[in-house]
Amino acid sequence: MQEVKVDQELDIRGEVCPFTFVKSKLVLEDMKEGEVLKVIIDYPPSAENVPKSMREEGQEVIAVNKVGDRLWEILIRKRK
Amino acid sequence: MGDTYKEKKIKVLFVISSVPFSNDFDTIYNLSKVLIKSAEVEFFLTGNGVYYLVRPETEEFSKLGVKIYFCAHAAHQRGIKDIPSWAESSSTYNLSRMMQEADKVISFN
Repeated sequence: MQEVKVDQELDIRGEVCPFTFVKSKLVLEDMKEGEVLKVIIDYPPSAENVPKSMREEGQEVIAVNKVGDRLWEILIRKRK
Repeated sequence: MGDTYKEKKIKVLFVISSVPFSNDFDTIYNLSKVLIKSAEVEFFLTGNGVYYLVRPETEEFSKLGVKIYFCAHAAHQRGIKDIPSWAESSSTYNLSRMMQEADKVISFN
């Protein structure tokens, strides 16, 4: 997969639903359209629901990568 | 005129946080059986309501045509791992969206 340029990173390890999504959404709102946000989480339900909610909101989820035993990075491109 | 008026089904959302072994279960079942004939019915299981996932009879709601969502956080906290295929993982953020879209919201807690 082609390397994606990340414009901003949000490390919310230790956070749980629904704050994982709400905090990601707030950061994304301050970014420009087309920019990419990397979200780092360590909570399994969020690894499933943050991408789902982002898609439902019309954002582009580029990738959901498991990068550790209980660690995920979610790459989101702002689309609206 | 000419365009036929297509009756839009109302959307009823049940927010359930009471355990499935209380009287609510029968009340919810009887209500759903009636409502499903003329409405779109959705459940959002949260708090102790996620225990509906482990009660086998809950599948009857799905067979009725009810769409069942559950708070993945609440299920994770309660150690519920085997998620039945008729239930969809969701979050309380999604609940806030579902509540906006529903015509009526009934909560059992």
